[in-house]
Amino acid sequence: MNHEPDEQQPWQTPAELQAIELQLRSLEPRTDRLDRERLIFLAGKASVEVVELPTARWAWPASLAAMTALAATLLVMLINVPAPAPTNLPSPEKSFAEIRQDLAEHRPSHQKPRGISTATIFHAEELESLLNGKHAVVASNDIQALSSEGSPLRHAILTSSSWGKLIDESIPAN
Amino acid sequence: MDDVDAKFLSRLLDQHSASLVLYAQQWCGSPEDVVQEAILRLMRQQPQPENAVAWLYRVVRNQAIDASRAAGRRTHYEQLASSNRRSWFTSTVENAIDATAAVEMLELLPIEQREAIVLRMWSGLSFEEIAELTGKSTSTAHRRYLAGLAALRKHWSTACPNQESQTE
Repeated sequence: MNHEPDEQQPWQTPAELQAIELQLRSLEPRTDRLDRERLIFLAGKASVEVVELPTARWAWPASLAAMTALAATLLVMLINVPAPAPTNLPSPEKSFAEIRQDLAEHRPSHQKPRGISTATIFHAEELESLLNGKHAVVASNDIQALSSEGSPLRHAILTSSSWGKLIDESIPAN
Repeated sequence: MDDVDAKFLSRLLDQHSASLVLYAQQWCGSPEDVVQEAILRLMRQQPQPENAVAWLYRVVRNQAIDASRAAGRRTHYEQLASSNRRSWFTSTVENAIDATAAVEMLELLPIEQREAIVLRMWSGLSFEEIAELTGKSTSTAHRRYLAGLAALRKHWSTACPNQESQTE
């Protein structure tokens, strides 16, 4: 926009109006109505302000509304989901006792029931077989008397001397 | 704001601030606020408009019209407008016409004619630029300008018959 009147343009002012036009043109608008220093300060401040885009103003509310609608939809779908059709499960072919037996047989050795050590089991079984046999001995000095009675003692307590006699009798004499 | 912007703003204020305030005063009683807000909006614009002056006149026009509508709902607008109407121009003895009388005559014109006269005479806009700003054709802008001048001449001859001979 230029400030100089464009006299070459075809839009001429008629002669009878040129006088009043010149008189009015001699008037000058007031120049003291704006606080120039303050305006320059505010303009400098405004030039460094971050301009918020119109779309950014609606981005968060729009995303919030979208997520809320999505959550509501999922909730409705979750509530209205149909119940699964009943399926005919096969009845167990084995009884619970059989199943427990199978489990016990196939249980690994490290899963054996605890409470008694392997060595104890070994000695107890060996002792039991010994007592169930011909060599039942009582912890007594009268072994012969006990043996003649022929009553196997299942719960004998063997002392060291008894063990010695038992071994001596077991070894056939040369 | 860098040096280029500062120089641009300084030149803008030197050349257009007074005429912008006068232009905004055609509608509202607080033209300084309108022009200041328009300049601040211009500085916030990214990127800057291609024709900053034309952009500024358009923003001032829109904001002044909005301000006049808001002020029209207030009861004290008339007092405010009347208190400001005598301060459009600088009063000097060199003026060929009395500034206060000129303002009184200008206020009698319809806003369309007055706008064309203010933009042509004190803003230095061409009729093409006035037409673009007001959204009318160039011939319409020119016709309004001439009609305004004719009305002023008529008012002037009625109010100041002694000076009528000087204008002939």
